Amino acid sequence: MKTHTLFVVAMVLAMATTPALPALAQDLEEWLERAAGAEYSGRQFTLCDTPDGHRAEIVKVVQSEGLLEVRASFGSAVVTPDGMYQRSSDGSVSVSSAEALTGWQLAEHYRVEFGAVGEVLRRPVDVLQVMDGDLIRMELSFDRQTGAVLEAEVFNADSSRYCTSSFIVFEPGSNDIDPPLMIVQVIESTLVDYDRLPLQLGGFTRKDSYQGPSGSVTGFYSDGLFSFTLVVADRRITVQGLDTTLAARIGDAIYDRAFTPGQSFHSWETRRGGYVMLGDLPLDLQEQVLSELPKPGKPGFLTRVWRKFFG
Amino acid sequence: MTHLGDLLSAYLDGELEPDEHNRLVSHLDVCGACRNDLGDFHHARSAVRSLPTIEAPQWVFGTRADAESITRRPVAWAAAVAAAVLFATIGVATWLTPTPDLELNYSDIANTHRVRASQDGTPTGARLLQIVPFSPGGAE
Repeated sequence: MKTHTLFVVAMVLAMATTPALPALAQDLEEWLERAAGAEYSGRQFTLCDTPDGHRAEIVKVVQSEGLLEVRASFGSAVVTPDGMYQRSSDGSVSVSSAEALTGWQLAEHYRVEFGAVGEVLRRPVDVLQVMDGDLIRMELSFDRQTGAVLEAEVFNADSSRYCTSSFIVFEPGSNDIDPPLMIVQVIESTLVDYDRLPLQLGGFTRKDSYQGPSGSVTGFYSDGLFSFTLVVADRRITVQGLDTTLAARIGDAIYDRAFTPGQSFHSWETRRGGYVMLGDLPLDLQEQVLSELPKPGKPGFLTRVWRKFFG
Repeated sequence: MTHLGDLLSAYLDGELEPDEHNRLVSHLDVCGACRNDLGDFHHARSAVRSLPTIEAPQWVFGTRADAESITRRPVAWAAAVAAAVLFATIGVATWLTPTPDLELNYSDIANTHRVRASQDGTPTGARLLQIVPFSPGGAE
């Protein structure tokens, strides 16, 4: 009898101290909004297993009052609802904002399932799985107390793990973050109808597009879970500031490729010009998108003559 | 009036004005040498006009188009040679000096993408993976 009473009391206490959780599955957006409002600080470890080796990074993360700050040896970044600003280790600050995109929407081929109740850092978590057919594409572990995402795992089509991002130190509570004073750079959407930036690409939807430098055009694609940026130019694109790119055979073509923790980078030249793709897509989705874009190839003589004289 | 000279030829061709014609006739009346000269002119002129007309053989001109092209051919050849030289020059110039690449900075592309992703609200984009790798080149 005594044991039964203790169990009931424990259950009541647990229910009373547990914040109201959003409904499952279709309410992933609510889970994410709750995570965005969580207040905490900690250290986050990201590890990606790529064909070119492991890519790992540890950063300090602070989230408070709707601001998210990421600090590392090379600088810091703060994300706000209006944009993002970065302070480099040399003291320089860059601030960017994008015009509001249309609302977040998860592609229809995804469905969300409740995985299980588990633990991360000895903290109880609710695990949500984003399924793509029978495949677990992403697994998110939400801290039951704060709502923060303590761990996120991304999987390839063969169920191998592509990237894991998890807290190795986590401390709930508010912290001070210096918010950006002003937005100095606004990325304007132009929504140009450009045939080399199709509206649908590899299952992703073009959310917006905008003019880049020297006549290049940039498109941002998303399926609600992953996203990538595609840069297109009428000539070959050389990217500075990337340590190493390797020639990688993907499908029946060869691309310049590089991985950073959480992001993949591809660049290639086609008969019509240059392409760069950068995003957080798992390996099979990278290949899927690339397969729908023009293949690498050298421009023809007449194309080169045309570019020579008319840019 | 001096001796008639070229006026005799014009006179035989009927090309003199009335007053010139009257003056020439008056002079011929008093100038025997001029009458002789007029006789010679007339004889020579008649002799030339009595020569038969001969058709030129076909091999001289070939077809009419060939005959017309004779005057154009040097121009066409010159244009063709000029075009070939120009084309070759463009080709060599294009080959030797390719169009410069468009140079972009990786961090600019990545930052722009992260801003977009954070505004889009993708789970990994806004809060996790997208934010982490903002170091150029990343860490191994």
